[in-house]
Amino acid sequence: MARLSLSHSRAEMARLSRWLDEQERALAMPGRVAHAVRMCLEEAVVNLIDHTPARSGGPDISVDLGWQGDRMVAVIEDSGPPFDLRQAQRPERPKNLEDAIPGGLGILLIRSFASEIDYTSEPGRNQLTLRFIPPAADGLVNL
Amino acid sequence: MDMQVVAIAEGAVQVTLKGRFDIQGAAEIDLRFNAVIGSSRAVVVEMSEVTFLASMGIRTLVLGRKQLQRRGGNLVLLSPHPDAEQVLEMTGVTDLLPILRDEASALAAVSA
Repeated sequence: MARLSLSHSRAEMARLSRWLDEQERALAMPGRVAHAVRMCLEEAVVNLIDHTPARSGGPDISVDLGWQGDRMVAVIEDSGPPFDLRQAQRPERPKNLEDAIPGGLGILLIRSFASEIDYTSEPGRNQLTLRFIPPAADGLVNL
Repeated sequence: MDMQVVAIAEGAVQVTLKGRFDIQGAAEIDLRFNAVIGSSRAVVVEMSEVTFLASMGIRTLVLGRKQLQRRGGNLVLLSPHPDAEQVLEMTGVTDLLPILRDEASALAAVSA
């Protein structure tokens, strides 16, 4: 698995984006998988940066990415307060522009684009595992 | 991401966006996009080459339309890339960010 460590800063999103460009090529990701992986990782990491406190001055978020069999697997670890996005209430469809400012939209996108989501939390370490099944491996999954 | 602005009628502009409209893309265009929103009454956002739309891009579009509507203006999306349109549908904002398929309909919609 390829690994990227990130500090708790929005400036790190550029590094994540460049790293994803590299991994798309290095891991020969099909286009639909690459799109889904980028969507989920960008949304998950920016949520961590924006909504959890930094625990240290250095890198406290890590992203691992690689194939496991026919599935692309992304593992995001952080040391903030536990947050299981599988348990988060599904955001309601916004009824007007006033209540449509995205907050839960990132969670909705992760749940829509990831084929499978696992989450574990131990004191000081949370691990979000996302799996992506290429269309050829599962015609029912719309990646 | 790339952003071009062309006047299409009095008080109306077409903003053509290209590239990834994620947190990076939004940061790159937000200042110029907000300046366009602040100086126009009608804005058509052409998105056929926005190949990636994330929540921060949606935020920029929603806030732009909200600001225009407060001043009696409007903003619509023109021909979004299928991947961007899928994200708009998934997030349930297609009612709030109208999608038009051709330039004439888009101009008519923002000018109404």
